[in-house]
Amino acid sequence: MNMDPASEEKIIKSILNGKTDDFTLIIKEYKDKAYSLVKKILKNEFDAEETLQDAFLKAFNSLGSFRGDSKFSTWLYRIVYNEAMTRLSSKNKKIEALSVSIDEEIEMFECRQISDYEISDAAELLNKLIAGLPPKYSAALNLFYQEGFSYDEIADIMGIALSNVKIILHRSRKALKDVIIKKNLQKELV
Amino acid sequence: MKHISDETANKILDGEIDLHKNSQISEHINNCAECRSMINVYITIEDALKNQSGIYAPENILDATMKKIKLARKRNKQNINIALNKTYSVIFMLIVSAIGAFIIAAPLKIEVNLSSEERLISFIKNLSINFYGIVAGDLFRAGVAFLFIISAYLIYDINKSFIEKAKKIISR
Repeated sequence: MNMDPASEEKIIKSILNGKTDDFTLIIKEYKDKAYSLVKKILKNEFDAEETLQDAFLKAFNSLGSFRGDSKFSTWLYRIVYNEAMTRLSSKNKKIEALSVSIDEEIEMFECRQISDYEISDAAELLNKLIAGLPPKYSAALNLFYQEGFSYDEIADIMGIALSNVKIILHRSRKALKDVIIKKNLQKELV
Repeated sequence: MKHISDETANKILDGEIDLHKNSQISEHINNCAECRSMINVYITIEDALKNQSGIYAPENILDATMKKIKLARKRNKQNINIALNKTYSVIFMLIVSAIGAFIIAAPLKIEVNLSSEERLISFIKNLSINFYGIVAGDLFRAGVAFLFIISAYLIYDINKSFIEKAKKIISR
């Protein structure tokens, strides 16, 4: 079920006029999609849940600043994405040994043991493969394929240049392709 | 022709290269099993990504978030109330100081032996003396009173948008 922009605008106005409980309609509409994005970035259910709650709280508090220049979903996802990245960087600061470059992450991703991917279900295999990608890569894949955002919208959400969105998507697909060929997983994926 | 690069394969997936219009590439794909296999893997990945089933958020997320929002609003209202009260207090104190400065523009001379009615008349008379005193030239004290009033107004004016916003948030 997708909410049309007119209903969204009505709900936002009503929330700004004091009907706080109407924010539940926004949460209901976006909770699953936003949770999917956050979980792909943080790769941890507990952190994803906490971060999503904080992101919704932030969205509620800054609802008055939504001018309608972009789609509401783009605006909301920008908040969710930033919140997840902030949580991720604070986690990485705590565990400095784990903070490696994206190239190193890709290398690690390609060198994983085949046993990591011995899964019966194709969807599960794909989820595992995506979970192994660097957070920015899995986020871009999620926004493009699951949420159907355009390159421009993804650039807006992630706060990066349009050309970088293309590079990230190309490199994610290539990383997935390389690991699938290397581990001979084509059949499992179909 | 060289093998198809990953970049070209991605461009084909993105629709930036149309195979119907680019016979050289499409011919190569038809004749080269390696490149065909690579393109097929890319297509399989793309299809799998498109058809990926969504992840569902935990059931309690709605209630937990609304609880968090309500708690944060309550705290926010309390903080805003405190800030609002502080602003009003400063404005009030400045106004009181201005009145005080005006009243003591000339020392009051209240006779102890007078009845309460006469004391009141004497007080009003002194006030008018103060007023005439200001007009006549007690400009320093009048200036102090004026500064207090101006400060009160400026503090109100600077915080006007905050006061209005605060009132709105509190009334929500």
